[in-house]
Amino acid sequence: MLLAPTIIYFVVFSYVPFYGVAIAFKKFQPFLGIWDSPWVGWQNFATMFTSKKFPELLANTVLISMYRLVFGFPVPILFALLLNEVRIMWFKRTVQTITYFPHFLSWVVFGGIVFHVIGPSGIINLLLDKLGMEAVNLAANPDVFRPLVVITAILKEFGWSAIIYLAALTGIDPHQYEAAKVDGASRLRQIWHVTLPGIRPMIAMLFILQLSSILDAGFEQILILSNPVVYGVGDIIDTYVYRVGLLESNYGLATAVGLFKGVIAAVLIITANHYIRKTGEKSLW
Amino acid sequence: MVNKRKKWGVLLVACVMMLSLLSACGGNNGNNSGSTPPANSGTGENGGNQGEGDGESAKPVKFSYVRPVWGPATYTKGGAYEKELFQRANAEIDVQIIPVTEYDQKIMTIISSGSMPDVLWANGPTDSKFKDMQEQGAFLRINEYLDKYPAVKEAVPQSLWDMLTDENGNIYFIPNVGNPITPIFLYYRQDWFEQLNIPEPTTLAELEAALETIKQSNLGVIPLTGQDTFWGLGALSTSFGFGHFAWNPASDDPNKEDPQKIVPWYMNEEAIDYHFWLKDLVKQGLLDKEFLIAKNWDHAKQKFTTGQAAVLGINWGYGPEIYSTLAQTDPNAKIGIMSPLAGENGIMGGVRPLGAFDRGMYISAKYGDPDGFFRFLEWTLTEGSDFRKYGIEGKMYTMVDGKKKALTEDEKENDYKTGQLEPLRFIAPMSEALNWDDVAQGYDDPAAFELARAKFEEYNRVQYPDYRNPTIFSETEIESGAQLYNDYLQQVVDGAVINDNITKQDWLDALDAYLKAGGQKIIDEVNAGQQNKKKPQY
Amino acid sequence: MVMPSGHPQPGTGQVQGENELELINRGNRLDRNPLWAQSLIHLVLIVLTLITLLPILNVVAMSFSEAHAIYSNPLMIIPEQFTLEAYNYIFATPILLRSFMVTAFATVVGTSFNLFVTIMGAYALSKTALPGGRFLLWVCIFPMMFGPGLIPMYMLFKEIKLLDSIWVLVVSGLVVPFYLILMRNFFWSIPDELEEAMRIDGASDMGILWKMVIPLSKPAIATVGLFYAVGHWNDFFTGLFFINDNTKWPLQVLLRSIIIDMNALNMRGVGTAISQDSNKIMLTPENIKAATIVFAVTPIVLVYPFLQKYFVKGIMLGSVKG
Repeated sequence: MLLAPTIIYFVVFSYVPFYGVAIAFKKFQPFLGIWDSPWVGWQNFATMFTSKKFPELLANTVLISMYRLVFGFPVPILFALLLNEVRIMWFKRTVQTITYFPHFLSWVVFGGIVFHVIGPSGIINLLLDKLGMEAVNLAANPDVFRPLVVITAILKEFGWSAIIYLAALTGIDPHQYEAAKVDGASRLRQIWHVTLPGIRPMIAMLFILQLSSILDAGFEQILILSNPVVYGVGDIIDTYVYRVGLLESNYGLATAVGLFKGVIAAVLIITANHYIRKTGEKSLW
Repeated sequence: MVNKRKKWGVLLVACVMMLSLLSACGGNNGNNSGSTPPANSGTGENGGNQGEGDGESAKPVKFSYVRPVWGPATYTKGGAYEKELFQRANAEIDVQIIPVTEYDQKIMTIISSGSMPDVLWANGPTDSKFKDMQEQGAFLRINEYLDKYPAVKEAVPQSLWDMLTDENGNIYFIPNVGNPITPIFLYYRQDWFEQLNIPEPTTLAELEAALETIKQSNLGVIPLTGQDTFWGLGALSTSFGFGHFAWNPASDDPNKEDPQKIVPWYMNEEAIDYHFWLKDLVKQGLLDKEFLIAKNWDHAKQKFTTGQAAVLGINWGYGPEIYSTLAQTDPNAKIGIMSPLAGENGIMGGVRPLGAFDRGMYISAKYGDPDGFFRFLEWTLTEGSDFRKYGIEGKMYTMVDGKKKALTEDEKENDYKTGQLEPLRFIAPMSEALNWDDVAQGYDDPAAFELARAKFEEYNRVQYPDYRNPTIFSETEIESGAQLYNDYLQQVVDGAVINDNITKQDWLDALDAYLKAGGQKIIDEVNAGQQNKKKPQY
Repeated sequence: MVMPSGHPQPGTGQVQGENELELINRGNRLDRNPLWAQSLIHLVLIVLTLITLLPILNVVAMSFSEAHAIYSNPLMIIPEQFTLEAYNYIFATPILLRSFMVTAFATVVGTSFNLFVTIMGAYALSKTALPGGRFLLWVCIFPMMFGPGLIPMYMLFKEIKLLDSIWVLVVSGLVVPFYLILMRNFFWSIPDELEEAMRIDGASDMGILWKMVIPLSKPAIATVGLFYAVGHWNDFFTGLFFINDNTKWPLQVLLRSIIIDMNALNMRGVGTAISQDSNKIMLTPENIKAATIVFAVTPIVLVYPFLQKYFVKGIMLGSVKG
């Protein structure tokens, strides 16, 4: 069967090492290894959940992810649609090639650039200064932080994310456009009735998958962009675990949280898939 | 048909993988305690080289060596330098390098997988994980070897050996000693000060006044900047009379030399005052708005060296770079270094000494030739000392006026660049930790060097060390120390300077909550565990 | 190539000729948008492009400038005090070529293996008649949410003797569940009739795959292939962690070690370094950092334009018979 290598791969590299999950339940001692480290049951989980900060972390994580989903998800789609309307091929190609570039920059670099724009001595403030207006505090401002995170993430990724949609757009039967035209549809209606439904399954699938990573919320980005003033609104589960867990080599905590996130992801995927199936779309399975 | 065969081929491969997997599984389970012998890549026999206790053994000592590198990871085995070293020292070392940023994680993984290298770098018993490992018998006890090989023993100050000795009198760890005295200087634009008729400040109040004058002037520069509260403006923290990020005598303890009780720095009035004084400076526009916010850590240094700031607080080690860069931007600039400033009540600024070592070496308990290794180490500190420091004449140094002068990186051939040298470094004695000749070489202008040296001595007069013995742990701290700090204190402490909304009362309230949640326990446990609270000397 | 119902619309009755497809691809339709809409669209796209273009220009400019010029003007888009010294420095790094080869190997060979296994797996999964299909699908999705830990992975590689081999780069991440699903969805849109037709002619699974499915799925394969390739190219962690011999590390690891993350710098080492070792280490100038980034990113960024020709419409439709 053709499926064999795939299955083997997963068995070997994902299921066999799965026993590593045990670290979540142990106080991990490197020299003793996983098996001989003392068992502490749910303690690592307790550390996470009883933390005074946990509600805040959870709230931040979910909120930022939701903002990303609501505002960030449509952007690549719209971009792909816009690009699809362009007739001048060299323009289309150029736009495509340039816009997907920021995806390749690490957040260390991109964050630095962002800071040069919004920082106290950044471009925005310089401009305001020239215009004789007050400087604005964008960098260390809790009210601005979440939108900042979402906007910069969108800018960095929209070009790259659009690639999938562009590929999907090629699969739409041109005859359907012909048929619509014959029916007298304007371009806009064509998009509504042909293009969008044409990529709807793709959208649905990507939506489910993004939903499942709702507890991720962009670790590296937030680590780079944040400062103590915005911890209250910006600290997410992952950055907290990083500071408290990994910096102390507390693998138990990190593994426990990973397990927790995995469970939530699984639940979300199943639920979302269920509902999508109900709306008649072809779902994940 | 070809296709059928392909299918079978795939299945066959699959079966093979499965089989090896199952056998691996069998071997994996329950076999992770140190019973698996160290799997060293190509070191040859470890046990087969029992060096005789006295005299030289003809066979070279062999060991595997894992260490972090701070420089480029370009090491290749068998290079010319390495060959020379092996020949002279009668050793064969199998080196594995790991970039320092990933070092801790990877070495933990390597150890967890059961393949402990013969000699490895690690954080030492100041890291509770390694202290545990010492007790679990992972490492070699080195007491007798230290006695046998005096050069190694003398490389490290006795007070340090004492600290590293555990409750049972055992030492396992060879620290990588370094100079603990790194004063933070306050560099300033002497030419601007003269222009504005500002005398060199000697107290905090005078500094504030000076900054105000600069702000009012038409220079249009940032009065004061620094990278952060420790590595940037650390000099100012000492003027408040406490050791930053350290444990100090409690504020109300009259005996500072041998206090009854030590507490973490954020409990001290002085620390709180420091932070809010800085906050004040920011509010008045005297301290860089980007302080603690800018993303690249050397933004302050850049500002000063490109003429955008008047006073810079920075680690004294950057002196040469500051002089040369500023000279490129503005040849007429004059740089001055302030003396330690006096705070209130005559508290003098000084230096906050750091730990006397950064990481160090452990030897695996399973290693078969510890005598050989120590012989090697001894050699690097005695006959091989010159070779260790300077290397090969013509390739790594030249003779200038009868003195050895090291070649710069660009002047050396590839075989002798840092990438090839760093992996083969071990330790250098404390006596070499601060070599003024080498420092002098860094400065183009001898007068600048003299100034730096003079100020160094001034700063070194008053020390604000960490009173805490880092090898003594508190159970509570290990379990939840980081979390407690994060949950209760971090936002307030880290944000005090830059967040307008945080007041002194907030800090005190946070402290209260922290103590109640477990912080007090930590302090008590540490104080109980550490009997000797005398002020450490450096 | 995803259709709402998973099956193509009944054909409009004609086999499309090559020419008409070309026309469609060139976009010569009769229904252009009204002029104002076209201008607006172009305007929006231009703005977006500029926003993303500026950071690129900034980094490239920095890589060609003198280090201290960058301090005064960090947001430059044209190089100031043009110099090639940053690039010279990078190209003079020992074993640069070797690590480049490692990454090239991982990217080319790795992606080939990736595609090979993923395509087979996705095709199998797309057959709804597959016995135990749902279960097997779950087997493949589960790892997406629960990654194995680092330490077990390390030990696993150790056991199968891959630890110090560049093949680790090929094997690790051989199949990414997300791409598997993506590919499978693309395959869904290939009409069953075609497959049945080929079976009647006596073709085997592999034959069908090779002769029909793959040629029809070029955009999907191009997309997934691109994703895999980029993953290999950018990979920093796998190589570092699972390969002990530093001469076998991929390019990204080497480059990063040249830059050195400043925050992890042993900063007090500046003082001790001066005394222990007259080389001033780790004070990497900004222009070298920028040049490193450009060098690390450029080769892979240039791949996509070559793939764009596969993103063409309606190839598949040419074979639908009425």
